[in-house]
Amino acid sequence: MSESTPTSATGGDADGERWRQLQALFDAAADLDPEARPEFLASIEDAALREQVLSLLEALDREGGELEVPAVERVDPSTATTLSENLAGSRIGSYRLLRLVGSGGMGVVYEAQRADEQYRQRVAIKLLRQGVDSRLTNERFRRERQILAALDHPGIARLLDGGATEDGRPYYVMEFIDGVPITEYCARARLGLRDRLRLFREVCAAVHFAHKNMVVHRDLKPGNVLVAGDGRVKLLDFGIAKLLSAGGRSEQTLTLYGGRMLTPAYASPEQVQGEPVTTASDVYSLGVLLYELLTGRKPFASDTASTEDLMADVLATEPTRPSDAVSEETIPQLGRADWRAIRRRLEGELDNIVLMALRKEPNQRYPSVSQLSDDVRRYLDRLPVLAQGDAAGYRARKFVARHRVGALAVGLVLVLLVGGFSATLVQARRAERARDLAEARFDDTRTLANALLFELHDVVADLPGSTLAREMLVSKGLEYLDALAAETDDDPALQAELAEAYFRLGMVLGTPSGASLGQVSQAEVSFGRSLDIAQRLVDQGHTEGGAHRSLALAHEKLGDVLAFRGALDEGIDHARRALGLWSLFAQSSPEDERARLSAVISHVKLGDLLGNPTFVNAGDEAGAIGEYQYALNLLSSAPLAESDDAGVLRYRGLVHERLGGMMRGQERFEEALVSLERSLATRIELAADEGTELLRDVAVTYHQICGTHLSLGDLPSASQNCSAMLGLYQRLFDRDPANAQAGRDLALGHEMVARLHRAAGRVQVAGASLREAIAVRDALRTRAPDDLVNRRDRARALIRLCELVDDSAACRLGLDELEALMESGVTTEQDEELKSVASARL
Amino acid sequence: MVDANTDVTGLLERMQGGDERASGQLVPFVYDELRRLAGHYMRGERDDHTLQPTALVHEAYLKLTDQRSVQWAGRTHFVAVAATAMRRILLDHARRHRAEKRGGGRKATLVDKLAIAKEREIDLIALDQALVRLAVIDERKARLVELRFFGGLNIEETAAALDVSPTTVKRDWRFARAWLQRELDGAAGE
Repeated sequence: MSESTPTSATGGDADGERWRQLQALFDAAADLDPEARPEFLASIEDAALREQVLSLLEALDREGGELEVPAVERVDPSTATTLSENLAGSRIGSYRLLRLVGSGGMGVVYEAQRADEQYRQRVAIKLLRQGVDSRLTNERFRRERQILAALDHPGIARLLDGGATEDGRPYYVMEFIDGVPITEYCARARLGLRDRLRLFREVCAAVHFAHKNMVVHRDLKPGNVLVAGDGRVKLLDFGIAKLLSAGGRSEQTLTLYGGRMLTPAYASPEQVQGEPVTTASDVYSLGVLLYELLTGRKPFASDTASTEDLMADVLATEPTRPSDAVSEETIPQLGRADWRAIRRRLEGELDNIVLMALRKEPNQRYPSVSQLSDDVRRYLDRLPVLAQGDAAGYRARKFVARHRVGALAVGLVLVLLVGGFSATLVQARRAERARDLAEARFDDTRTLANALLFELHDVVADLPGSTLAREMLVSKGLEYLDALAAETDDDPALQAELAEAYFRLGMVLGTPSGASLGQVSQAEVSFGRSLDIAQRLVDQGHTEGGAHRSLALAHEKLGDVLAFRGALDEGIDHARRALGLWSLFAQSSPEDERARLSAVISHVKLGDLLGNPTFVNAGDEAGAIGEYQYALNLLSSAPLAESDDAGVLRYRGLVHERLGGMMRGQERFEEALVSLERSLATRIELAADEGTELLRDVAVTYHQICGTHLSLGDLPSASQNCSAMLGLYQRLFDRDPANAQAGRDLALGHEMVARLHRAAGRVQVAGASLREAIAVRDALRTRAPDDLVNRRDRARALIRLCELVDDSAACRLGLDELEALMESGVTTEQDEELKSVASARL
Repeated sequence: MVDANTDVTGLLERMQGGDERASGQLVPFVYDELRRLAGHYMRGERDDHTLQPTALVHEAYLKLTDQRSVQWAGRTHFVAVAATAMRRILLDHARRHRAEKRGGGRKATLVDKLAIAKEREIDLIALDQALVRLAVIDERKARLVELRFFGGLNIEETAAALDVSPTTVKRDWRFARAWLQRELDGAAGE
């Protein structure tokens, strides 16, 4: 009978009932926590059955899931070969191999130690597998060594040495990492959400470093991302990494071979499809890793699904939102039981970050690993993240973007949002006893407040007539932030948001420069609050949320409003403080164009207050010129000198104009002209980028200046302005030949130039200009025969040409056209005269 | 065998229609094709890193059937048959290699000891014998192991092939693994 020996088969059909009983008891026991099992087993009265259940439970523990890996997946010729080869104990170079610690696609890894006594360093030696010696794998192995040699980073396992064994197999020696996979580390150490995110950013830093060195890892997964004993991340196994050539393309043969090796659960859609792999593929794999760190599971069910299904999922299925993936089952991985709280914290921004990294299309993901990392940092700093999902603010913003109908729509959105808001707050108060619920509401409210203050406000700011709506958005948002701040006064990130919010409120209430409600004294109060909060944050050392920047902005704007209401000395004092801060930022990050430009702006503002007659000023003209020159120095040195950023161009034009104005005031006309011309040149450059209208405005101004000089008899000045005018008209015409206005402008320009040449006595050249004008007008006439003004002007040009070079055919054409137009109402007395001129020549 | 495609498709259709004998007739076709494919893989004629049984079976399926006339359920039947075929193929290899080894020939390689993760391995012949014993007591569980381990089916696919719920598959699978482990340990100790 079966009771006699637990290892034998348990009888046949006669024991069917007993067999079922055994399974029922086993199932029940296996479902229990290990600690609860002894008690359960003790409750089984039938001793034989109890023995059976116990031995099966023990067997299950020993089994370790080996059968979970299907048979054929283990049939790997190269793995089979290793079974017969274990080099532990032997020597390679000056190293003694201690034990086999792993085997990958083409190599085996041993833990080893330097054989010479004085230097007992533990290392890992990776050796090309015996029997795997094709030229291609050899090449790949050497390539990995080469890649690793280039990657000297604390987050990447270091290459120490390399060589070839006596039988010619290449090997290399790496730093031995005594660590555990990052997922396991997080689970064991029961790391909280924020610590997991910080650790993840370390991984990003190492991967980013590889990318900067033109290396894509291509096989990022927990097994290759270890956390060592000191808690630091180490990236391993660049076995299938590839070098990007300068153009970002892969090297063909290596990719073809390597492309087939992948870990489906972490592979990107393009890897699964065998398409070109770029840094975006590592962004994807990092997304999977982050998903796993945050939720305790992978985006797609990889343990139950077949590889085929998994790959299909990777290609076509949208992953479950991380917040929805957290459940009771993932408690062991998360290391904490309050999975509902974790779910709430993932909702929104973290969901969006992970899902953005996991987008199917590589170009929809974060453009680089550092941008993914930055967004995680923004989350940690409680700043709005860049990744967008289906969040409330995003939807609302899209709503506004879709319905650009001005303040009405804005008002509607506002009502909807504020309505939702009050509900949120009420709920938050009711939930005071359920602490984590309140915490979640706190976050919700804050998210919405930020959406009002920043996202919605920025969209609305572009709409005409939106100043009042902006004020409502900002003050509502601020109200809620204020309420939140009253509950917790020790949250620096929240305080930083408040500083920014007060600043924005000040801007909309009454900044002297820009659209505002003109409530300058209220604005002064707002800027003052912003300054106080930012100053306190800086004093306490909480500068991570941009407190320095807020402080500088608050000083700058406070300076503006104070000067505007006549408190000039105070205003200048704030402007100087702002300048000091901006200069500090500009010096500490010399590459940062934004910081430099801010310093430029600050110099200009201080200069305006010190002694620019156009503004309320302190009468210190030399001081003003000095500030403008500082600004110009910054604009003329790297990195701004090379910049074609519109903001930089705008300030270059502005500083030259300011300097020109100051010179003119001091009657230094020649210097004034130099500055003004530079200003003009810069503004033209800017206008050229900005669009047709601005460019045309510039051309029209030249046109008028040219005409004025011509009337005054200053032919050289007229000529200079006219050629500038004609160049611009021609550019606008070339840009859009179908634009009738551009055609008319060009013809008018040629006619003006003809007048200029005639005045200079260059008759033939004048005639050529008129022919140019007539050609443009001919084309225009063909396209738009009912443009009577064009037809009239064409006739005039023809008769003037006839008059100038004695071309009777032109007189005939001109005369006929004018006759035809006589009844239309577009002709004037001038045309009667031209008719008689033409008649006389015929 | 004039046209393997038509034959296999017809057999699959008959299987779907409930014809038990069709299943038995299908095995030789599948077996031959899988053995051919597996041979390629095992001789290293393909440079894939690992063998994916589902890919293997899928490839055989594409070769053997006219997909336009076979419904998805047909694929499950096919894979179920393929699992049996796979078990035979692997066992044949294992026996042959063991014979060679006894004859003082080559080292044990490849299929008779399946490499697992790092150093652990499964003795295929012992596993096969244990499965035969399991089938005597509980045929469904033995079949389940065949589908999962040799056929590479996941929980859901196995449930569909056996026409039971996924929950039942999970429970039976756990029980079967424990039972087989106990058998294998016992065999090793003897």
